[in-house]
Amino acid sequence: MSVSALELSGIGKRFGTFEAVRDLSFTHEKGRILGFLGPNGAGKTTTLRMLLGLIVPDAGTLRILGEPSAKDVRDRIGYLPEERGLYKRMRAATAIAYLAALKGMDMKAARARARALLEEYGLGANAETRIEGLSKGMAQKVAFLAALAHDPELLILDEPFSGLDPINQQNLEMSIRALARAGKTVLFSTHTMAQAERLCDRLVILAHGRKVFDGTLEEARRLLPRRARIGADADLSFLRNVPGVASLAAPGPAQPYWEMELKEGADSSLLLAACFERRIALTHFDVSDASLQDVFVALAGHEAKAEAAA
Amino acid sequence: MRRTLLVAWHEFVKFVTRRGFLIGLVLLPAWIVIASALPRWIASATPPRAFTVVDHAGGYADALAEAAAVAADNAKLAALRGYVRAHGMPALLGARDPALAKLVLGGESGRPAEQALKAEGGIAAVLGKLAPYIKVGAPPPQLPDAHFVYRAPPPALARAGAAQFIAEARNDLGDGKSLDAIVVVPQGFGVSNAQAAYWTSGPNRQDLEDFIQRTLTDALRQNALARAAPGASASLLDVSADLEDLDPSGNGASHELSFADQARRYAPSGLAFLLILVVIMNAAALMSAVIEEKSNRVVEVMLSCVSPREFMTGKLLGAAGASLLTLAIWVGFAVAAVWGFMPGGRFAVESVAGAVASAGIWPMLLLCFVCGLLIYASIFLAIGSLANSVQDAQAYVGPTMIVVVAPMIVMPALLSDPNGTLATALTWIPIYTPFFMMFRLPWHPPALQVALASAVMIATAIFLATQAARVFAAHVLSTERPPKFGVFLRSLVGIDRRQSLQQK
Repeated sequence: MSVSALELSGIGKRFGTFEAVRDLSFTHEKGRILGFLGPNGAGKTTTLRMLLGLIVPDAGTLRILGEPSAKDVRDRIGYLPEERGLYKRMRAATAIAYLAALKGMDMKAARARARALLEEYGLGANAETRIEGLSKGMAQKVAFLAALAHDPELLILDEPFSGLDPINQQNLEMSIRALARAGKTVLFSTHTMAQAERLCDRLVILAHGRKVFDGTLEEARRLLPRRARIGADADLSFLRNVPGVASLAAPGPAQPYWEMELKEGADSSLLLAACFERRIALTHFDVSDASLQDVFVALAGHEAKAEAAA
Repeated sequence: MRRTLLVAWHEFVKFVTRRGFLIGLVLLPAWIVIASALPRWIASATPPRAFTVVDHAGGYADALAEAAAVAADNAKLAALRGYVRAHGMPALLGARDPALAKLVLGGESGRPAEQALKAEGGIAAVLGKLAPYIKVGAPPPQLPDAHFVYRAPPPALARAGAAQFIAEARNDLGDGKSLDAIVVVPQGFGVSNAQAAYWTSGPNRQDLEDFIQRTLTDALRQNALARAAPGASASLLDVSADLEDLDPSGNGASHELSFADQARRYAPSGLAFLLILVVIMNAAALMSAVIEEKSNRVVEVMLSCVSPREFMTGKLLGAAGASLLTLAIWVGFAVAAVWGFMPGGRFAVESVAGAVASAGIWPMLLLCFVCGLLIYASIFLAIGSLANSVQDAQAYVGPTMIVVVAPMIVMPALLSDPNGTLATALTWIPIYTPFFMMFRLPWHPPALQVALASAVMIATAIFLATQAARVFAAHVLSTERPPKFGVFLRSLVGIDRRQSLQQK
């Protein structure tokens, strides 16, 4: 039995002369959270639509929950589009129950489930409120509940954090983690790195329709060198000659510290030793891995530059 | 199937709870009520028409004065008949005073009714005689005032010679003056070529002019009869050729075409009109619903739950259900209005219902109506799926509406020969088959044609729904500029197969 919830191989989609997705391959294991990252226009939504069977790829093959098309496993998938995708005049409980019933639940059970979910997520008092009468955050929550009401194995969430305030973002993060703990497979697209960093077991980064990274957060961070930052009222340019230092930048308006990129396996204590040797008083010292934001900018930016050059 | 029915039910509820649907629902009945009440209201609100006659020939002034009085009595008699039907005790009246009952309950009109009224002593006497047969607590009758009022000519006008006549007429004629018209009957009128003159000023009182002309014509005929056959009764002129409508295929033994027979013949035409009306009413709503679903991405969620075909079929069934509900409510409204407010309404409703039930064509009519709805709704849903905005949709709606309402143009020709070459040929244009079949059904088209038309309608409805689902699937997620009308038509009829989404 396959342990992959998703298997994409050489997927491509073209709209007229525009190539939205090119030769995209990746797999996603069951019970894990996959972050699907990319700047605007990277091809994230097109890929999600292909996964859902809403549009047919021009090239490649895909398997979703072991089947060649999402149409065969519709009832096992939950989907949250970027713009909520709910009928504005429908009441919250009805909207959730309707979509759950379309996903195969008995209508009576779907209604009960909708009520229970709304209570659980603090929207019990709004069960009979029309979607158009809810705040953006509330409506987003209702759309999320509609996606999971039928207890799907795979949840596909397109920009689920978009438009949410920090508290609701945190609540949604907790919900996604809880779903993963319960054995659900989650794929969500985003261009907000913080959530991806906190939530994802695995990341796929797209830029201009092409995959530019596929791996874990640690693997992503290892793509860029570690950085050391040192604060002092002295000229530290001598640190350029310390073994393991790849580059050095002096403080500037946007960066108050001396900043160094370290080679792989470099010993950062050599930097401290060199400063102590010269009796320089330090005001700041830190060594950190590259952030996902750095990796994302480096990869997506590099891809953009390559695209422009081509 | 379960998903399709769920979508259909949701679409139906969404459709019938729209404000626009509810407004549309009451708009037609309201329009009918206004259209039927308006002439009566206008008549009651119209001030009486006063006229005088300068009669140099002799006898015509009296004829006009009498005709005005008779017209007033007839109007009062008509109102009195309505009053007795609403508040009287017809059984008791019929038993105790058959002549009076015949006058106020029968349908006699013209000179016989006038003579009967005269025989009873006029309106005032009839009112007195009716008093014992009016229910206790009934309101007093509201009888209309005379509409045409004869006034004796003002002395100055009567005396005026030709030179002073116009000046005198100016004093008496026009808005706010005493007279609406002055009729001058010259010497020798009716025996020479002398013409009567009709003087008026201000707004044209066509009804008064018509009344004057009709009455003078009657008077001339009576004079001519008197000259040709001295002593002959004027009632000799009250003859007309009665044509009795008969149909050997009618239900009654006499083969006389009753009110119910007429209803059975023409009700399907009314239904065909309603089909077009319902389509026009609902087309915009169908399209804008799809456009809205596209713009707020509801359609993505829906298509992650159901196939495009299930979604489209559900939408079509929901719209068809809402349209049938519209029809049922309109018919219910009409029945209630006729039953409750029309004299003899209960009889009319019962006869039409009886005729309808016995006609045997109603299952076929229902099939035509439903197929017609599905055909037209498929087209408009496909338009909605192509457009990204209502403005986009307008480019398709104009030509499509012309196509939809085109059958109305040939309807008069069709009614005069419902089974002729034109009607038969038009029946085989698939998108018009339901419409023309509805018209032809009461006129007994050949059974083979009915069977073939049924097959054509059902096949067209299924084909267009399928094609609309293809167009829908291919374009509903697209935000590109919609294709040209020709490309849309080719897609709809299956010539252009560029749509990419696989159906399931």
